[in-house]
Amino acid sequence: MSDKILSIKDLVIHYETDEEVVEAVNNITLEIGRGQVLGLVGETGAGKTTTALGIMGLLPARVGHVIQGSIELEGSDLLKMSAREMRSIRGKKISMIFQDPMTALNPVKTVGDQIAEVVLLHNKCSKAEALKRAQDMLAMVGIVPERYKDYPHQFSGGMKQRIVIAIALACEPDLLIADEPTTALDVTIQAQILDMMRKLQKEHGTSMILITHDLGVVAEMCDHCAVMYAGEIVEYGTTEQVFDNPKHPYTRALYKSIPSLDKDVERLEVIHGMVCDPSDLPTYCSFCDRCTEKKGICAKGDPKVVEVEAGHTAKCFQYAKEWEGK
Amino acid sequence: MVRYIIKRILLLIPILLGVSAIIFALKTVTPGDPARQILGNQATEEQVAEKREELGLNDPVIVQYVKYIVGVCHGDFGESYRTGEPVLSEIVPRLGTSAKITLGAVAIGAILGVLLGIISALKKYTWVDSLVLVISMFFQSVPEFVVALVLIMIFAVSLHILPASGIDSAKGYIMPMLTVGLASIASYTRITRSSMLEVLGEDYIRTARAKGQTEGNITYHHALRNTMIPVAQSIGTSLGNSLGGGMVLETVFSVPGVGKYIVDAITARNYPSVLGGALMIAIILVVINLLVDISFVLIDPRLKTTIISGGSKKTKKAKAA
Ligand SMILES: Nc1ncnc2c1ncn2[C@@H]1O[C@H](COP(=O)(O)OP(=O)(O)OP(=O)(O)O)[C@@H](O)[C@H]1O
Ligand SMILES: [Mg+2]
Repeated sequence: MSDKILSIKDLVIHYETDEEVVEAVNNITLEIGRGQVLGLVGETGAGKTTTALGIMGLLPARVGHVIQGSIELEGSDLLKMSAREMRSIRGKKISMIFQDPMTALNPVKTVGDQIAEVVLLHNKCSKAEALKRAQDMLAMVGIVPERYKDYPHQFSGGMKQRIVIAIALACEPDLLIADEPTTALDVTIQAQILDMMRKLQKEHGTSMILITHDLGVVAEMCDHCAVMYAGEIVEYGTTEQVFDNPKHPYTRALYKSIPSLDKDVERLEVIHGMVCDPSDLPTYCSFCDRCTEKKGICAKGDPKVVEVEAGHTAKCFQYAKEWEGK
Repeated sequence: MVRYIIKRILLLIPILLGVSAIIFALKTVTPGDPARQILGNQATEEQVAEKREELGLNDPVIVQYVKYIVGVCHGDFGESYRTGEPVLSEIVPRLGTSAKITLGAVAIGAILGVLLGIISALKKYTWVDSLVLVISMFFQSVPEFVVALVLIMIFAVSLHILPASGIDSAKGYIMPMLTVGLASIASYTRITRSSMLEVLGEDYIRTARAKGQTEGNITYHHALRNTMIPVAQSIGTSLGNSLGGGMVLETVFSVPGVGKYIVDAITARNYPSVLGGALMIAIILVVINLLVDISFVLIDPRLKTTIISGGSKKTKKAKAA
């Protein structure tokens, strides 16, 4: 068996509406090692959620389309699977924690039923056993198990997120996709939830894709880090490589835009300009218009992904042969 | 819960006072003398005057009103001018008839409408969706009495399988129920469709998909109950509307219901009957609304805390580990 749990190759995802075609994910290639945590960072609209939904096979019907590429889970391509096969994978092999815990739970069903549902779907067991499992899961995420009879509106936001996590982990998935699991929560709760997730991930050896725009979270939780910009992965490497030796101008700009305690800077640098409109992407490097390190060549073509050191890639002309002199 | 229900029933009092006051006011401004109406043209002036005295029509309106209200509080809605029978005992059986038709009609409309609504939501933007829309719009835009006449033409005149009027047998109920029911399909379909589409776009539906749940179970277990919240509201409204608004229909099919009773009473200036009928309908509307609100709580647990304030408050603190 390969040591990679998931490998994405040349994935392109478009949203096609009557008015426009949004190129949300453009040719990304990614791998996640078994038991590892991959951080997926990027500003809003970069295509992080779209990538996750693509893996889950949950792109919005009729609008979201995978144009090309493959997503292999342990060697078998998810994109070639039937709806039935995908259903047996969702919730069991791959689980997802969605961006907003406030709306992710059904308001008219008890939380116990909502956790038991996924247990019943993937295990041969009775309703009573599933409810027992639901209570165990609640205890695991730090909620009094007796509350399994309560409805979502009776819980706070942080507790709802714990319940969403309990649902995602109830069948001990091999891969967990956590889409900004803490952005909707306040800072103290964020730390608690992340602590809990890290503990559960270590205990169960779950592989994880952690989507966030918080670089601090990546530094703390992730083995590898992929930086997304306008639907592309502009830099990828181990967390140390990307943090200690950022190669892409966008990654460097990201660092300068986060506050830091030990550096005494007058003011934070902002990345000037706006993310390019994904329904009207340039034919050249998509970061060029905002880049402070650009040269003439950058507006002439699209750079290739270059391996700058072992296991560390960047999509920038600086590492191409043409860079010198132009 | 009990406190909430009592509070709602107490609300009946101002509503009933208002309704009866309006009808009393109408009585004083409409021309014609009820006593003359009862006795007919041959009666002498003395006889009429005597009748007026007997009916208490010479008292100031406000006295008549207070007397009436006191009577109603004792279950006495007065006597019908026409028959001399107590109004209440005339209305109750008619109410039963109207209620049967209304319930049947709402059942037909709601069941068909909700089904069609679900189908068109699940098949949105396909020809099925458009077909459902056309059919339901058709029945909504044709006036009820036209549908009634067409049904009579088909089932009574041509096929002879249903009676054209009256409710001497159970078959007599079918056409009135169909007429009202068909007309209401469109609104149920529309409400169900849009509610279902909205619910299917909710995040918790995506959560259910992410669990590996089948589309059928998602529709049935996750979407349906949430979809029904606005539908239940409109079932309540249309129960009330068709019970109170059955006048044309009951006249067309000669069904002895409250609607026809009130229409007849108005033509005959039979005020006690008009008043009694109107008050009865007002009471029933309030009760139906109360039942609808209670059913909401059964559908949507969130309302248990918001609607029924003063209910038992559970104080549970989660011990976050
Ligand atoms: N259903 C949709 N229809 C059309 N365009 C969409 C749809 N969903 C997302 N998009 C577009 O696709 C692009 C990528 O969106 P996505 O949600 O993947 O971003 P994201 O990286 O998750 O951002 P955030 O950090 O705000 O969650 C955006 O430009 C967005 O406007
Ligand atoms: Mg997102």
